[in-house]
Amino acid sequence: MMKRLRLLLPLAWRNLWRNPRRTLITVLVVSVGLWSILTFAVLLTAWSDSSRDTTLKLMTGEGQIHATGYLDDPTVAHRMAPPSGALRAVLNSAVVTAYVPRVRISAIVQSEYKTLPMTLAGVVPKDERQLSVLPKNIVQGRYLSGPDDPAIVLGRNLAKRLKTRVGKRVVVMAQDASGKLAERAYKIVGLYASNQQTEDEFAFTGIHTAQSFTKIGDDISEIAFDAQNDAVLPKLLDDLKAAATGRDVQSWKTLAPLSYAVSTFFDEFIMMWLWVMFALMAIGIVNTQLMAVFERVREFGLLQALGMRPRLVLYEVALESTLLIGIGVVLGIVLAVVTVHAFPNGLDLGFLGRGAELVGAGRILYPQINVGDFVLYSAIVWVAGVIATLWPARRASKISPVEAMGHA
Amino acid sequence: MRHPLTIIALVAACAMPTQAFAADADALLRAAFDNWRAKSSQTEIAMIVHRPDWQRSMQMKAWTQGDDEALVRFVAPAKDAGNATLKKSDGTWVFNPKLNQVIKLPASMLAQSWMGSDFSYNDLSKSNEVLTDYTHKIIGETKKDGHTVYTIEAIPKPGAPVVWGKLEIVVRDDGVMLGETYFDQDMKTVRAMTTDKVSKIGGREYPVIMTMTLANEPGKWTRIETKSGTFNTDMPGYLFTLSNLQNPRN
Amino acid sequence: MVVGLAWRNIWRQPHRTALSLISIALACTITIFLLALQLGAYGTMKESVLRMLDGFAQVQPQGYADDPDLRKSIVDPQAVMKQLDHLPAVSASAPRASTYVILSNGPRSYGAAIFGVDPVREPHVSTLGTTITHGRYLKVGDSDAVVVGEGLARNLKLSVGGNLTMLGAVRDGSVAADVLKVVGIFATGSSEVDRQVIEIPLARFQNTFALGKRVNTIALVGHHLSDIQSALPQLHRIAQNNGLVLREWTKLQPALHDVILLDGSFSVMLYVSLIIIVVFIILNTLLMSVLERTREFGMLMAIGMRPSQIGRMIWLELLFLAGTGAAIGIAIGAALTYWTAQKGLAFSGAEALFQQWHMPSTLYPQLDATSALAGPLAIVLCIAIAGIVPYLRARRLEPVSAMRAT
Repeated sequence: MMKRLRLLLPLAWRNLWRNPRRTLITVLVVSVGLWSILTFAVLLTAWSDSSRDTTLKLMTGEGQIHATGYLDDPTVAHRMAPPSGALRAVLNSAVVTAYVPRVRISAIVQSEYKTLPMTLAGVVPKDERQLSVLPKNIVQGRYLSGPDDPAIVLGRNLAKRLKTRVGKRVVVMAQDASGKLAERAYKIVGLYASNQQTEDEFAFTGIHTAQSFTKIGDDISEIAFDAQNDAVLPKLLDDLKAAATGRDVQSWKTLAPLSYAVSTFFDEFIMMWLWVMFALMAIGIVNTQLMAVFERVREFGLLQALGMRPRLVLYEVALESTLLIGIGVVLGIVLAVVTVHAFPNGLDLGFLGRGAELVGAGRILYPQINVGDFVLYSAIVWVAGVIATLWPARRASKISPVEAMGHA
Repeated sequence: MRHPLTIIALVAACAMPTQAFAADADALLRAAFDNWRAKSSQTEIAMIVHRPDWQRSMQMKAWTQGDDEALVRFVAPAKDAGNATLKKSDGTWVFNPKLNQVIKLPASMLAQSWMGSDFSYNDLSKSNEVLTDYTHKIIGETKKDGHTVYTIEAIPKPGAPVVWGKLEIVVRDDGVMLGETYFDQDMKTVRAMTTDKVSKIGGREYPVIMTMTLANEPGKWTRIETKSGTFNTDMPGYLFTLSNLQNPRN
Repeated sequence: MVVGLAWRNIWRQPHRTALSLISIALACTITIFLLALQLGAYGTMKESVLRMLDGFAQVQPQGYADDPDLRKSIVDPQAVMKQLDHLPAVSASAPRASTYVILSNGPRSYGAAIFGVDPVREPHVSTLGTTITHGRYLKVGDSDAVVVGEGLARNLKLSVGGNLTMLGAVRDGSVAADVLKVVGIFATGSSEVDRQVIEIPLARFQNTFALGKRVNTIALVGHHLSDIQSALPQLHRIAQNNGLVLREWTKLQPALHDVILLDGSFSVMLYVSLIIIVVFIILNTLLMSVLERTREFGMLMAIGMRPSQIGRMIWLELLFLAGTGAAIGIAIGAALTYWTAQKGLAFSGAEALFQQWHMPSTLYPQLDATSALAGPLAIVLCIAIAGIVPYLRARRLEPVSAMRAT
C-alpha cells in the first residue's frame, strides 16, 4: 500500500500542475465555497447571537434571581438580601461575566398631565453598563451617575406620553416595605431609546435611591446575570439554585420565551442551511471533477494501455482530488480566518441604518471563530469532496483503453 | 385629580372669625389651614361631575380629623349610597354595601378616578401638602367687598413629591379661600379651582361652592358644594376605623 | 438560430448539465421548502399568540387603544358582528367589554383587567379557554362565574370554588361591585395575562357596569391570519361605516411583530448566502466550460459567427440551464412542501417551548405563490446577472487565437 502511494503521490502531484487552469478552478471552487460556508456560518451565528442579545441586553440578561413569588407579584413585598456567602461566590466565579443587583418594582409615575403605570428599576449604573445596552442608548441628557443618583431616566415614549421632558420633575408612587404608598419627586436627567414596549415600561434611578424610597434597607428585588457562554448556563443555573436556596432562579429561556422561540428557530435554520450548503458544495466539486475527468479520458486510456490497472487509476484520481481539495480547504480556512479577523472591532451594521435598529438586530456584529466548527465543517467538505470525486474517478477507471483512445 | 379632602377640609374649616392677618404669606396660609382643618370637621357635601355628554351628582358626608384621617360616606344617589372611603396614614380602604366588604386599595389602583370625578383615589391621601411641601410668598393684594384679597404663590420645596411648577392661591383676609390655580413646570395653567359662592355656614363665612376646571379640557369640571358643617367637635375614637367603615355607627 | 444552438449545446454535456440542473433545482427546492416552513412557522406562531386573547384583528371605538375607557363603546355590537361574520374571511367574531377593577379575596387585593365575554362566541376566537388547568371555562348559563389566571390565583390565594370580590366603576363613575365564583383557572404561558386578566360572562359584565347591550371591542379571527390580512380593506370599511376603527394584529401585538421582523431579516441573510453559493457554483461550471470550448468558439467565429452572438449564446445556455433547473426545483419543492404541509413537520426538541405558548409542536409549511416563487426567481435572476461574466469573456474572443487554444 505504502509502495503504491509512493508511486502514485508524485504522479498525482505532477498531474495537478499539468493543467494549472483546471486545478486553479477546482481549488477556487473548493476554497471559495468553504470560505463562504465558514464565513457565513460565523456571521449567521453572530447575527443570531446579536439579535438574541438585543432582547436580553435590554433588561433580562441571561438569567435572573428573585425572591420566591416576585414574578407573580413584582412589588417590594417579595424582596431579598443582597447576595452573600455561597451565592456571592458563584456570582463572582469566572463563568459569570456580569451580574447586577436591582430594585425593580411596579410603580406609578405622575406628571402634571398624566398618571401612568410603569416599572421603577433602581440600578448600579457601573454594573448596569456591563449587562444592559440601555445606559448606552441615551438620546437626551445623561444616564445615572452612580448608585446614589437621585434622578430618574425615562424611556423616550413614556416621557412623551407624560408630556414631560429632561429637566422636569415627575412623582413616582410605589408600595413601600410596610405596604404604605411611598411617593417621591424625581428629576428627569435623561431619556433612553429602545423599542416602545421597553420605553414605556422601565424607568431608572440609583439603587440606593430606590431602596430608601421603598424603605427596604439594602434589600434588592432582582439579580440579573450574564454567563460566559450558552454551554455553561445550565450548570451555572444549577449552581445558583443550590447556592440561593429559597429563591427563584430562572434562565432567559423562561423569562423571555419569545426570544427563546426565535433563537431556537435560528439555530434550526442555521443547521439546515449548513447541510444544504454542503450538498451544494459537493455538487459543485463533482461537477468540476467530472469535467476534469472527461477531459482526461484519453489520458486514462493511455495509462491503462500502458499497463496501469483500473484500480490504480481510481486511486490516482482519488489521490489527486484529495490533494486538490485539500489545497482548496486549507486556502478556504485561511481566507475565512483572514475575513473574520478583518473585523476585530465587530462588523458595524450602521450602514443598514434604521433598518437594523427597526428589526432589533444589534448594530455591531461580533463574529467569533468557533475552532471546533471550523475543523468539523472543513473536514466535512474535504471528505465529501473526495467522496464526490470517486464517481467520476470510477468512471475514468472503467473506460476501456480502446474506447478511451477513440475519444475525441 | 387633586385634593378633594383638602377641599373638603378647606370648605369645612372656613368657619373663621373675621380677623386681619399680617401680610405674611406663610403665616396667612398656615393660620388659615390651622383654622380650616380645625381639630376635626363634619360636613355634608354635594359633588357634581360634569362631562360634555353627561353629568352626575352625588351627596356625601365627610369627617376629618387632624392631617391624616378622613372618612367619606355617600348618601345619594341610591345606587351609590353606602359606599365609603376611609383614608388613614397607612392606606386607603373602600367599603361597598353590596359586597358588605372592606377592600384595601392596591397601589396600582390609586391613580384611578374616584367615583368618576376629576380626583383620583391618590388625591384623597394628600391633604396638607400645600402647607408642608411648598414655600409661600404674597404676590398680589387687592380690595374686594371690604376685604383684602391676597394672592399667594406657592413654590414646591426641593424634593417635595409634587408635580406642579407652582400654585397660586387666592385667600381673603378672613381666611376664605377664593381660588387655587395649578401650573405645570413651564408655568402654564393646568387646572383651576375657583370659589363661585361665599356664604355663611354654621355662622361662618366660607366658599360653599367651588369648581375645578381643566385648562385644556373645557367641557369637564367637578363642582363641590358644602351644604352644612360643624367643626372642632370631638370625634369618637371608633370613627376612623375599619370596623366603623364596614358597620357605620355614625 | 442562437436560441436553438444554445439549447442543443447544454445537452451536449449531459452529465455536467444534469449536475448543474441538480444544484439549481436543489437550491430552488430548499428555498421553497425553507421559506414555506418559515412562513408556516411564523403563521403558527402569530396565530397561536394572537388566538390566545387578542384575535387576528379587533374592531374598536375611536381612540380606545390609546385610552381604553369603558365609556368608549360599540353601541350595537350585534349589527357590527353580523356585517363582519358576513365576510368569508372572518370565521368568528366575539364581543368583549373590559375595564380595570380591584380584585380582592380577604385581605389581599390586586388591580386587574376584567373582560366580559360571550361564552358561546369567545371559544371560537380565543384559545384561552383551552388552557384551563383547574376547573372549567365559562359556559352558557353561567352567571356569577369567573375564570382567573394562575398568577393572579396564586397572588390572591384563590382556588376553584372560591369567591372573588370585584370593585370597579360603572360608565358614569358610580361604584360597580360584584362577588364572583371562581369556576376555572387558566395558564396561557404569558405571565402578564396570567396575573392581570380575568373573564366573566358578558351579560353579567354589562349588567354590573350598566353597559346595556354595548361592548368595547369585537375581536375577530379567520381560518388563517392571511385571510384576515387580505380582507383588511373590507374590514376597515365595515369599521368605518360604523364609526369604529380596525386594529390590525401588528398593533395588537407589536412585540410579536418585532420578533418576526427580526427573524425575517435573519432569514434574508440565509437566503442571500444560499443564492450566492449557487450562483458561484453554476458560474464556475459555466466559466470552465467556456474555457474548455474556446476552440469550438474559434471555429464558430471562423464560419462567420460574431463574438457578441457567441456571448449571447452562452448567456442563453445559462438562462436555459437556470430556467430548467428552477422549473424542476419548483416542481419538486412545491411537491415536497405540499406533502409536508399535509403531514406536518414535527419540530422535535422544542415541544416544551411550543407548549408554553400553546403552540402545536408540529409545523405546517405554508405553500403559496410567495414561498413557491420568491426563491427560484431570485436564483434565476442572480444567475442571469452573473452570466454577464462569461458573456463578456466570450465577446473578447479572437478567432485566430481561439482556434489555437487547446
